[in-house]
Amino acid sequence: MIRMAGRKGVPGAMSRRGSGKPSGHHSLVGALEKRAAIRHVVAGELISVANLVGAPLVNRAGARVARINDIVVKWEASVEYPAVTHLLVRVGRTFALIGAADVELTQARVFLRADEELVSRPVRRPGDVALVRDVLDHQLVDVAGVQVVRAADVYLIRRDEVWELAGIDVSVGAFVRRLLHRRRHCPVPRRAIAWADVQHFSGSRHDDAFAGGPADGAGVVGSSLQARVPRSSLRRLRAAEIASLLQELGRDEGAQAVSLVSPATAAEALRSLNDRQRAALLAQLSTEDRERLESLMAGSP
Amino acid sequence: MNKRALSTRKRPRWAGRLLAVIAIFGPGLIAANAGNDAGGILTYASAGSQFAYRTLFLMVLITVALIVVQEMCSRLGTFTGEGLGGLIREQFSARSTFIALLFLLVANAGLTVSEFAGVGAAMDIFGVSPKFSIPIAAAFVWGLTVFGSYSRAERIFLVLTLAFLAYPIAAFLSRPGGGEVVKNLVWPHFLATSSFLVLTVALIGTTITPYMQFYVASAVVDKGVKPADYPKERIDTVSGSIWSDVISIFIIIATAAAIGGSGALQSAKEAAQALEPAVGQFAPQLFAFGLLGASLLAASVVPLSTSYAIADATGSPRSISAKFREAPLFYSIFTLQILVGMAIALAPGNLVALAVNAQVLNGIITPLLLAYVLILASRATVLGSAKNGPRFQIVAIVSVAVVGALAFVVLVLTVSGHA
Repeated sequence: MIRMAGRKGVPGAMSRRGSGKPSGHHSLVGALEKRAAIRHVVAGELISVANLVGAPLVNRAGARVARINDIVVKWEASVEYPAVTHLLVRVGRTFALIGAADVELTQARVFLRADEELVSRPVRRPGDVALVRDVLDHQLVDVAGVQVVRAADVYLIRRDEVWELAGIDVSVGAFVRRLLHRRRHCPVPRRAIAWADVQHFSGSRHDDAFAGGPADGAGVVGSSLQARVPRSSLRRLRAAEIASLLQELGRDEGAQAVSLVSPATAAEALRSLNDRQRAALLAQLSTEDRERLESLMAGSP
Repeated sequence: MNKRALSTRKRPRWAGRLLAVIAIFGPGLIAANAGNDAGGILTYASAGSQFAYRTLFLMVLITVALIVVQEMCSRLGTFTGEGLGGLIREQFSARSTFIALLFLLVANAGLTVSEFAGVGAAMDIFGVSPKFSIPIAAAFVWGLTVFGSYSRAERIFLVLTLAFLAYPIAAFLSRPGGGEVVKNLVWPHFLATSSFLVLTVALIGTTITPYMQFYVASAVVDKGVKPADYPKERIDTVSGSIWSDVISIFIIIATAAAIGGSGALQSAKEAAQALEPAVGQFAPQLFAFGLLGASLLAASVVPLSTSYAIADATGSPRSISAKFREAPLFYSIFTLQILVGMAIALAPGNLVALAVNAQVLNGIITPLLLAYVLILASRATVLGSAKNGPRFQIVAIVSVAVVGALAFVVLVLTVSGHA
């Protein structure tokens, strides 16, 4: 998975898989040097969300005023790498939302640009994707690899002084790294997938800290068949590929995936599932969508 | 009456309902009955041998706790469409997930060893050397899972559970004292001794085992049980738990009637021989048949449970309907457990020590994992309106707290050398 390679700012940062096995002393030294170089580049340009969560938010006087709880990006159909719009922070027992423009992000801590009172009642707006709540550790689809994955880490990348969602790391190593101490510098991604190749799903579960409607652009069950979501990376896949993903996805995620592809593809994919799996997925859809898909399944061979 | 007329004849309403319930039988029944594995048989038989009927009331209480726990896991799988491993990964920290999976892996590895030791002990009664029976059993279990489809495997598992009928037959043939059994079933006759406490935790550990919880949640997902079908799935889970513990109680009764009060058992073979005075010369064969079925069933379910949980948590493909190349991590973990289990069971050693250690480990790990299950099933963010109701929540908390307290006391006794 080297699809993040070549992104501006991190040349070669994700190209470890193609480097081959080092042989002998010189190769080992070369590999270490290369890794050190990658670390150096990555340090300033990438931020690991898993390592950022829990980091302090400090004011201009250097005092800690809150802790980072989540990072919010705005999902838009036409944007491959969405920008960070807000940070959800925890102040005592309450939560507050801060605009990304009001802070300076680093891996170890986040600095407030101006001293302002952190008072707000965080409300999730349509299109908001909370990276910890919706992406980290959740089931996602690697569209290029046609597989269901779980994000062990999520990476932000800096471009023109704006932090964007770059991609995810799905390696077991990235998960194990989280068991250890918090890193002051961004760790090098091991098995990275660019966000443009990832299909995420909206959380359907209630959340008191970040309440509001889920991100409908991410695929609310039943939304897409009627609304014709203009771009979903899942639409690149064939029916057989969608069917194989549906067998691995959780029920909510599977139903959202059905909603994100064309009705004809969804019907063909559902037809190849066994009766119980098909019935369980159809039960998640609206009556209108279910009837439409059932008629499509009955109508074609 | 021709065939067509027969096929269109209206089926009685009760028959339709019965068929609907039977059609969904599977995950709950298989998971709960897998609790009666080699280690379980040894522990239940030891309870009957050591304390006669005194543990029967305890088994009634354990059955209530088992129903509560299995129901929560089955509900979590049905309503979220995810296994416990995935849910823990999403809902808890990375460290908590890792701890849960590590303990499950260690406990299940120990159990897999004891299952193959159980196969060896059972076949030894039939005169087959463990050197032959254990590798053949390992190959059978592995091939069944890797080359068979889920529905085929499930049917074979269900047929294997019929072997448990050997225990009630043995119990009835041993002619236990009816009044004594009923008295001990409805009223506690506990002993205030450390050995009774240790056996209590061993009974809990072998009845409410962590792999059963992981297995049932993943199996309902794999089977595609949807929320609308949950009332039928609940029947499967509850009846499977009751059936499993009825068998366990029969093992205790059968052993108590034959050799009650003669002290702790040293081996499964000894348990089989102990039934001879009651059921004649075929008692060892009858006991061995049940032990073989139980061990083979659990030798499949225990490694599968670990594979489901780890693949689920790491986001890897997981299904016994998939081919090896489609779910390599899932099948690799499964294969590794079978190989390790087989290798250790083949090495010279004491089956009883292996089985008891596995039950002790399970007894300590169980409350830890029950806490995860309880928290998940209580969260509206996970189950919405299907979360634990207030009364169920009280029963669940009491069950987990009691199991946890007992495990803690036994852990302290063991560490301090008093157990």
